[in-house]
Amino acid sequence: MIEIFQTLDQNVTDKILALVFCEFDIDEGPKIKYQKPNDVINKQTFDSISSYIIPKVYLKNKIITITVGKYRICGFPIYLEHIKYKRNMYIFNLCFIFDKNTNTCSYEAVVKKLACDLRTLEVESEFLNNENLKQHLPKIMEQVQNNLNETGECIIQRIANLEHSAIFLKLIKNHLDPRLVQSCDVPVFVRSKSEFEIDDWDLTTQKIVSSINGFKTVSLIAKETNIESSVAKEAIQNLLYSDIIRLVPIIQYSSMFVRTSLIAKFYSNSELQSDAIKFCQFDKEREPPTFYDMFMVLNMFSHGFMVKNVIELGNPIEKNIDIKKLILFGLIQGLLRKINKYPISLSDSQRSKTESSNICFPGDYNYDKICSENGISIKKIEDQLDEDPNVVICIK
Amino acid sequence: MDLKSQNDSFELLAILLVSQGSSGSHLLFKYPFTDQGQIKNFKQTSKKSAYSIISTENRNLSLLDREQKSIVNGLLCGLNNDVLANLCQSINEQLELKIDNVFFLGCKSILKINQVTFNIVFALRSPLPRPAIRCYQMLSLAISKSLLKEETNSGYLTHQSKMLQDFLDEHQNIDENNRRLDSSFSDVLDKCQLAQEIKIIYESIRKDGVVDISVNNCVNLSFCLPHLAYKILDKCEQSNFVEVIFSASKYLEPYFGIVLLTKREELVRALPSNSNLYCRMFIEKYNPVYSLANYSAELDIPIKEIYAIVEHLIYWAKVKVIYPISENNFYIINPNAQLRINTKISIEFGDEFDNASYHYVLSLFSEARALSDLLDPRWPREKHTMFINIVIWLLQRSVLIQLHDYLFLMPKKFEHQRLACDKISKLSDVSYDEENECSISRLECGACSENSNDTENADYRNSTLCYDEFREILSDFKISEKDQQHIFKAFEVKSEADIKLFMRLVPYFNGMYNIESIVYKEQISWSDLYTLLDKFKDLLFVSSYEDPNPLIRINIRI
Repeated sequence: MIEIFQTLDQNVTDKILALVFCEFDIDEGPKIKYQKPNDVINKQTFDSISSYIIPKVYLKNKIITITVGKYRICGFPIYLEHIKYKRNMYIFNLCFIFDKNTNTCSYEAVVKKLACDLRTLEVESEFLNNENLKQHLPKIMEQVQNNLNETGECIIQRIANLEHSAIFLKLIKNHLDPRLVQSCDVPVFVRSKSEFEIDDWDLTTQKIVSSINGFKTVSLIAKETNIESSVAKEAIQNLLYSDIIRLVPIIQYSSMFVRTSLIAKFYSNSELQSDAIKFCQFDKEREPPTFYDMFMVLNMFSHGFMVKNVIELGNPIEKNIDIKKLILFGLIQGLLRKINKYPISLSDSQRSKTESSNICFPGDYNYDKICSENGISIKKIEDQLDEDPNVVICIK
Repeated sequence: MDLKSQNDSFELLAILLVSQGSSGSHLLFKYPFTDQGQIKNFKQTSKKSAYSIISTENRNLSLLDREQKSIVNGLLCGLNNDVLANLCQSINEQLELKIDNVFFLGCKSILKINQVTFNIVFALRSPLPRPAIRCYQMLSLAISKSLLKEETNSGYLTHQSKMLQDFLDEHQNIDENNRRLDSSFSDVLDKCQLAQEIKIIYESIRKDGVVDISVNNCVNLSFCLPHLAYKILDKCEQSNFVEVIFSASKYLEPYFGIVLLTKREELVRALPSNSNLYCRMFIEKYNPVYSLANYSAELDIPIKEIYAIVEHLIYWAKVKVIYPISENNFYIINPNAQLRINTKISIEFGDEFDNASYHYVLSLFSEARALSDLLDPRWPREKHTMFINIVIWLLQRSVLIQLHDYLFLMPKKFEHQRLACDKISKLSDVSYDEENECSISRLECGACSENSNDTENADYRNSTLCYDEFREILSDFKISEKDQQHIFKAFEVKSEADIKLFMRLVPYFNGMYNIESIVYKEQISWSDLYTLLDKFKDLLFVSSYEDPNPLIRINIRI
């Protein structure tokens, strides 16, 4: 059942199927000059869509994507005006062919860049109109396709032995904007440090990276590294965008966590289990924890059970489980999610403000956020709440 | 039409009516269109700074950026009408064209009258979810079909298109570059009915994604674009909700129930006069405590038919799928629920329920208690009903979510797949295999000795002999020999009937089936199941969490 739900998120293969170089031939009209690999687009298909590949002049320099049959074709037609060309005009378009279900958005910039690079080559050294030079094009097309499909990058230098000629292409995946970083969030590495070269990053980020240990909050990291909190947040957001870290909520004795449906994945995925055993082992000298014990402790997290209750009942140390690491593992893998207390004052907001200290409870602030923004402890909030009968607490 | 909002980001840019015949392609009508004055206004406001450097050298770098933008203030610009007409000419299949960030979507052209082909094309802002593309193509087809029908009835399209064409020819508003201007469209809008209808279609899509008009006051055209009709709480987290809605049948289960998102009377009134009789019966029978199987039994309609009705209502954004409301249900607050004070939802709640406090009611659901614990038996009947109505109201708006009990097979010191996995990965680890074999032989010995002990009691031996069969079932679920041994050990003190029932249910004990689904699928009573679970509690873990079914998980806002 779970598998069916997951397939929805998976993208269809988004590889380039072929590259086609088309141009306007004075005698024959629009035609395919080169195609790598051959015969993906046949003559008949091409004729039906040629008005979109070699379009009228008003569509020049536009990214045009057309879906035909089982293919999606993305191109960027280029018009070059010069008296040296027959009819004073040369038109070409290097199209990328994809499966019709591919999301081509991330390729658009590459299509445009490559077209502009070819235009430069043509303007500077007549690359596309000199038969000796042009014969290099199919090879370049092949290389572009292979490299982009394999690594998402393509660098070709000294094209056809021309001085100062180069093509640099990089596929940039469309990311969603990373969420805003809050002082009470805890950054955790999701990739090993060796995978990215930290020396290339700016000094602030380097300082922050060295301070991240999976349990320190953003505000603590900022304090420790002596970096202004808004700068630290920005640097962490940057790391978040690059998929190096993930943000998890803070883990305290009074925190509450609940299981999610992904715990079923943990039950049936042995790889995940052995990862967890390795990660959560408390004492490396002793026998590693068993899956049974880990699952039992994990299964204790529910509404009304704070971390300290789980420790009392589950006795994780005796089972050689590092409870903090187990929770962290659960959060990263989505087996657990934190539930927070949201104090909400039911009386008028003005009254509740004057009644006691200047902390107000507008409803969308949870304990963690109130604590970190006002720099107070949970105990102090609870004391204040005890005084105010008009405050209700929602847990979500 | 005036430019209402400067930063209009609505996805539908324009609806185009294109004709294509021996005299070439023509854009007969476009809505919304730009008036001459507006364009001028725009040109003035977007005047470049007098201090900007005009460079001619970096042409290549700014190749695109210097070009005219395709979308300005939510209107389609940059491509003039003749270009649009040429672009939208139909190839022999559905039109799906994207130019820069504008999609052009149309259907296979079926409207061919006197050698002239007509096509309805939607211009949309990219990016669009995949199913939305299909939706617009289907809508284009639906419009074409109803036009075709009305054409055969009364020659509607011939008449209207001629009127549009004549108007265009008469009011040749052509600018200095010989391009046709939009101002003729505003003249024709008052006189041509088809133009009016296109305008209504645009406006109703903009309003709530539901189109419901009569073409030429005769042919009914109703259509829904679910991605616009649904209002979703967290759009980015649920980016695939449209796919889920389209494949709702895949996710529906007979033990699910529904809540209507509109008032029942309203929905009944909105049904067309020729609507399905079953659908009408279903809505009249509506009760949030019924499961789909209940509806099927009560109305004597096959469950497949019920599914079809529910799918239909899901598509039209009229229902939300839930588990039937029962006193044993556990509800908690949705992590996406809006808790801020003085928000729209809390005010609406107060209006609906006698100034009750939204936040106070929600605080009751903070501790995952069963509904029956929240209902005080001393309450009068009215209060009881009101509380259930509050729960329904909160479920409609996805403020509450339900927790379900899931079961895991977990004998003491359970190792689950680790054995199997290690065996595959470490073939060299001979000692491990030996140990395993050893344990098997020990198990066999144990079994033998057990048998030998019970030689006097032949009946008992017979009843326990089906262990081999069980072993097969357990092996299918990748449960190692060692764990099987633990399970069988626990069986020794249980009665044969219990063991048989337990083994029947073993496939459900992997955390993917909740109690509700097991009860339905195995047709056993709740009390029997709970008694059994209690008897085998040493072997099982109970865990409660939300159903991962995406239909249940769609977070709707009303």
